[in-house]
Parts: sequence; C-alpha cells; structure tokens
Amino acid sequence: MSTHGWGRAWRCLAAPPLVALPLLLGWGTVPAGSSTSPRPHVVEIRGMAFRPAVLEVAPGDTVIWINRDIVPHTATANGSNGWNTGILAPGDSGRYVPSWIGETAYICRLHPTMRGRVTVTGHPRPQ
Amino acid sequence: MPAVTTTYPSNREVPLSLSMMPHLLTVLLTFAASTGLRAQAPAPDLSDPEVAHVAVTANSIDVELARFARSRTHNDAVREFAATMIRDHTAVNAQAATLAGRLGVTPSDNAVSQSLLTGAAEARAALEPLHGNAFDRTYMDREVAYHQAVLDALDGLLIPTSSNADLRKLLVDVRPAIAAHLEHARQISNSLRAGT
Repeated sequence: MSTHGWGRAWRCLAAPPLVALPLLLGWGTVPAGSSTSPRPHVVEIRGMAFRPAVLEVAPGDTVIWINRDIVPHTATANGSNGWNTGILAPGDSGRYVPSWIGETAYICRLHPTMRGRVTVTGHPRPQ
Repeated sequence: MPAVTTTYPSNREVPLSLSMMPHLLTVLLTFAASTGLRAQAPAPDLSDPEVAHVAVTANSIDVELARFARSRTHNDAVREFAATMIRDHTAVNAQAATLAGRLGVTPSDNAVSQSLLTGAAEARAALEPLHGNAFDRTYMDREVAYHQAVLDALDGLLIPTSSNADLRKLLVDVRPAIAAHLEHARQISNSLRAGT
C-alpha cells in the first residue's frame, strides 16, 4: 500500500477479517466523546461509497478506512492542508488520528462523487 | 443513480421469457447506438466465456481510449479522469483474469465483443483529428455514452445472461464503479460545456 502524502499520524495496517472487527474494535459499546481510552472507527469503502459516510470521533481516536471495492480509492480531506490516505488498492487500509476539534469533509480523489465527513468533538480520551 | 434491487436468476434456471425480449432489445439497441454495436445483431444468448470476453473487451477499450486521451488533452480534470479509467478498468480486468483462471474459463470471442471493437475504432477515428476543447468535449461525451451503454448492457444482458455465480458477482460488483464513472464523466462534460 502506498503511504505517499500521509502525515505522521497516518499508518498502514493489514486489514483484519471483517467478521472479527466488531469484537476487535468494540463497535457500538462506547459513544464518541466519552472518557474511555481512544478507540478505532472503521469506514468500509464498498460499492463506491464510504460506509458510514458520516463519522463522529474524539481527538486521539483512530479512523480506519478499509477498501473492500474492486478498484483503488483514497480518502482525501478537502482543502490544501488536509489529510490524504494516498491510493488504497483493493484490500488495503489506512488510518488517521485526528488531534483537533472540527469537521472535515473528504472525498475519494479518484472518484469525486464519493463523499464523506469526519467530525471531531469532545475532549481527548485518556490514554 | 438508483440502487440495484433486481436479482438476476441464471438463464440456465429461468430462461428469458418472451415478455422480457422487448426490454432486452431496447437495451441492446441503446447499446448499439452509443457504442457501434450493429442494430441488426439479434439479441445474443451468451455463454459465460462469451460474457467474460465482452466484459474484458469493454474494459480494455476504455483503457486504450483513456491512454490516448491522456496523451492528447491539456485539461487537468480530463487527464485525471482518464487516469482513473486506466486504473479502474485495468483493476477490473485483473480480477476477471484471476477469476477466469480460478474457474478454468477461457474468454471466448463473439459478435458483441467484435461490435464493441468496431465502435471503439470509430470513436478513436472521430477523436484523432480533434484538439483542445473540441477533443475534451468529444472524449467526455463519448465516455458518458459509453458508460451508460455498459451500464445498460450489464443490467440487460451480461448479468442476467451469466450463469456462473462468481462471474455474476464480479459483474454486480463492477456495476457501482461504472455508475460512478458515468456520474463523474457527466460532471466533467457539463463543466466543459459551461466553460468552467
């Protein structure tokens, strides 16, 4: 997987089996902004869409994009200073750890009709 | 673009009924008008190797035209679109090749594939003398028509004709990409016409 154009907060990781993700990541157990430890949030790229397209996270959480499509994608923040996953080949994944409060719209740079949004709210979770 | 809600039974299990033929014929005539497919061709009953050949040919045609567009255009949006066509359609063909190898299927040439190639040659000939905005508009209009035709062919011919579940799944998985390409092409085409 390419990491071209990523900031220090971005890293690649091997995608774990999808069936294990809910248990691994504790989906649905902790609302954003609570005072538990930082948690991951998975966005699947499937059927030429980000799923979910809208995500609310806390500072220090990790947003993980997994490309389940048959063509390459990116998750690229709007604006010249935004984050960018670089090109994710089918099966690849990448992540981003936001450190500031705010809302960022993003697209797939290769398919601009694909749109998503990450909203960072609340306080950083304790480590 | 509406979501696909249709299920696609195998033609080995449920033969095409006479009531479906007018729709299929309409699809094929639309396909013919925008891709060069000859209108006198009867509605084909394609085997899985022939469906695979049509799919691979359709991808390869768009890759080749995109390579030409990248060498000719000076418009950033058109160049990026062409790069995406090369990347995506090459990826789809790689998946098709992997699937064909796994299934032991050799794609088989057929009249639909040949008609696609004839239409592609005509499109290339029409683009060859063009430059600048005229080239960009003609190329993007062709991409709009081509992806609409491929979408129609997927829905009306290729997916319902394929009997192998893996082949049908690949075609169903490809459909959202073709729909996204169509929408992207429309946006650029409209932007070119508006002069923005």
